[in-house]
Amino acid sequence: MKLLKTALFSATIMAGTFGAFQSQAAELSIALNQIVQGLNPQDSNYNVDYSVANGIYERLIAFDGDMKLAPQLATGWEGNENATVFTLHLRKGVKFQDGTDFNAAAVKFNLDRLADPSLNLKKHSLFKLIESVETPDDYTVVIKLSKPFGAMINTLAHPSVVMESPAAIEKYGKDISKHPVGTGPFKFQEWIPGEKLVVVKNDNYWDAEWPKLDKVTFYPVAENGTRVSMLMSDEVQFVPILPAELMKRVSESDTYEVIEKPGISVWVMAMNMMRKEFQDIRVREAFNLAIDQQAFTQVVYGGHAIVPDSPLAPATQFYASQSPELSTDIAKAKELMKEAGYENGFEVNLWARNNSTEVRMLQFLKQQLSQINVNVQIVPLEGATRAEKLFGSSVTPETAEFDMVIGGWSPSTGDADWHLRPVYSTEGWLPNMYNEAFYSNPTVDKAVNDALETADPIQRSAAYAIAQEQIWKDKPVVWLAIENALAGRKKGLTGAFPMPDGTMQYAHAAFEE
Amino acid sequence: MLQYFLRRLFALIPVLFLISLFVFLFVHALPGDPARVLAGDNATLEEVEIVRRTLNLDAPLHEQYFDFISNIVQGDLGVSLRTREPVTTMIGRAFMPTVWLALCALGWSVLFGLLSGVISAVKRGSVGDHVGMFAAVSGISMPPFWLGLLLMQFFSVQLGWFGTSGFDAPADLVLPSLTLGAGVAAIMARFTRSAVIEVIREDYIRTARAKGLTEKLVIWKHALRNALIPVVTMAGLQFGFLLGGSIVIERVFRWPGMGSLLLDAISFRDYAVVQAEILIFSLEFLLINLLVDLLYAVINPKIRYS
Repeated sequence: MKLLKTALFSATIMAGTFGAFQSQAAELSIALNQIVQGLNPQDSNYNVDYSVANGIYERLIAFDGDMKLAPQLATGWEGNENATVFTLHLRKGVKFQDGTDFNAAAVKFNLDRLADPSLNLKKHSLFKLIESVETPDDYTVVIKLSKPFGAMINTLAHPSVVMESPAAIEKYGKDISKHPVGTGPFKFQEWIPGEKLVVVKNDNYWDAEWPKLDKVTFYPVAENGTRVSMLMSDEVQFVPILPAELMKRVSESDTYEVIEKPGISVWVMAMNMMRKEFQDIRVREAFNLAIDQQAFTQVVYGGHAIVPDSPLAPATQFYASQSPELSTDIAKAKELMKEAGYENGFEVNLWARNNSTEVRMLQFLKQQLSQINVNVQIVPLEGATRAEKLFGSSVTPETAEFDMVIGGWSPSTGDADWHLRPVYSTEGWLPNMYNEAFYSNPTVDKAVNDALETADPIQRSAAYAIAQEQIWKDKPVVWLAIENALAGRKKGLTGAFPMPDGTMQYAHAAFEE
Repeated sequence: MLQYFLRRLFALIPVLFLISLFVFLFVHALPGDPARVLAGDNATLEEVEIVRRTLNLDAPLHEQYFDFISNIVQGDLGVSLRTREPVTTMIGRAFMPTVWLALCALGWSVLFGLLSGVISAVKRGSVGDHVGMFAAVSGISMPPFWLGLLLMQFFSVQLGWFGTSGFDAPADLVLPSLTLGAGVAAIMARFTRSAVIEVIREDYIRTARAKGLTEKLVIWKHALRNALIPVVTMAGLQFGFLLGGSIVIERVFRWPGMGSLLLDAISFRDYAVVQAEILIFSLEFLLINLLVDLLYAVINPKIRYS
């Protein structure tokens, strides 16, 4: 027995030592909160896929850590005044990891593919306005649209719009998602679905400065506590999604640190305006006044969130802060309810997912609304069930079963369009997009459409300011919080960080010497 | 005996066929639309419909069942809706890690359960009995995810003796199998204790003692052997459950087994994987039951099958 114990102990010490040597050899391990679905971002809607793909592929235009547009494979771009023609100037001297040249033909190949409805790519909807892609020379691409679309440049920066090797697509077809070939600093090496995914250094990367790491391994770890334990035992050095309740364990350590960035995910409680009570602005205003958003950010996010002051998050392009700020005033809320004829309140149901964060939201909101005599029946739903009951193709304004629903929206193009259009325009009503309140205001619809008619940022900004002001006035939702992006990281590791849109970056990761 | 075995084996075929129908209908009756889940969180209705068409989820139900059953007859469990990988490959990869975990958990828990159960029964009311039964109640009461995280924090993070999670080396089996076996050990201990207490009141035990046999021989040979039949039944049942993969423990320890696979498949409504896994679990239970029946004859030669 003693011998067995000694052997086991020695073996684990050796394994630990070996592990330590491994991390010194410029290797990084990352614990993801979900399993990777596939490695073809053009055919995915999952942040986890985009996150891993960020090192393998590159986009024409990318976002920096603050969601500002940054050149990547395109070094410059411009659009015409009525947002129908966009010209991109490409980086020279870039090759895909399989040796294929990156040039205008490769970009045309990728954009034509995205625009082709017969290929059934999930992100086709972002590019259905493309009429033609022209290549006047090897390093210039001209995109012509069938109608104006002012958000085109930001759409090109969407994490799904990566450049894939045309030769690899010809070779692998649909299986490209298992054999990704891009221009990024890391090459795909191995993927055991549900277990791990490995990428290694691309020695022929166009920027000789990068990458600094030889290998990056991703582990899908659904359990929050396990991800933190893996970090604290140096099995991984980066945890890109860190739940606020476990943050303290990391922040109190001398070896690990918490990285916190402002997010763009705005959490709201949408009020179904098909219900008579919510058609009255006084009721919607009373609901907003009854909820203490400061307390909400403390209870749900441990203070790692901010209170919204616009339908958009500050890091979203064309955000404009609104007044008055959100405030809590129970007496005024009760008065408004009385004026609206609901002094004794009424009963409503409130839907959310059944994870611990959203269940905390449910409990908090139920308590808060009871102060104005509203009896909330909380309905935590399993993810797939919620998706079907809320967004199913048979859901119509008349058949929707919910009175109120909690949800967060993060515009992955970083642009106001992909927040205001799906969440607040009439075009975005469920099940088409995500307007869960069935809110409709012609001023908002017009402003959202006007902003797409031009590529001029000043005109677009003015149009979105009108939309934000009107939505803030109409209060179709109760704005709750904008959660910060939180990650846990080993001290000395740089360049690996969470993005405000819920993805992460690791292409420029390095260990300080 | 062989004839009995073969007869039971053939009887499994119609049972499995009925299970396949039941499983198919059950899985399709679950609320939740796979096309919506697989399309992703921010998918538009158009994107959802693309997924539905691509995965043939718009075909009539009877056609989908016919495809499912005709594939199974040819030994093909279909293709995962989520990863487009053959389900056979996915299950092939997940099966052995779960078998190893189940065997290790069952091994230590049966050993511990039998020992502490017999000691508690023989020394009823003693400190050992109370300690053993307290441990058993604790084993049943402790939520596995909590015990798992506790063991991980102490042995992996604080002491650094074991990896926190994953299955890369045999040592990785220690913490998950300890966690998984805790509940089973407790059940086995309590079951053995009751069975032995029952048996030691029997006349033949008194006779054995009267004959002057040593207490050790009376307990371990005469009493335990007879007490074993219900205990083996329970161990068989528990093994069936363990082979099903403990979803909670596999999730906590990032164990690449059947439980993790099933959990992911259910959350994505990956019909092909869920159906295949439930079919395999059913087959495992049927085979374990058959094995337990055959074991009765080995434990008690008076039992004969024809």
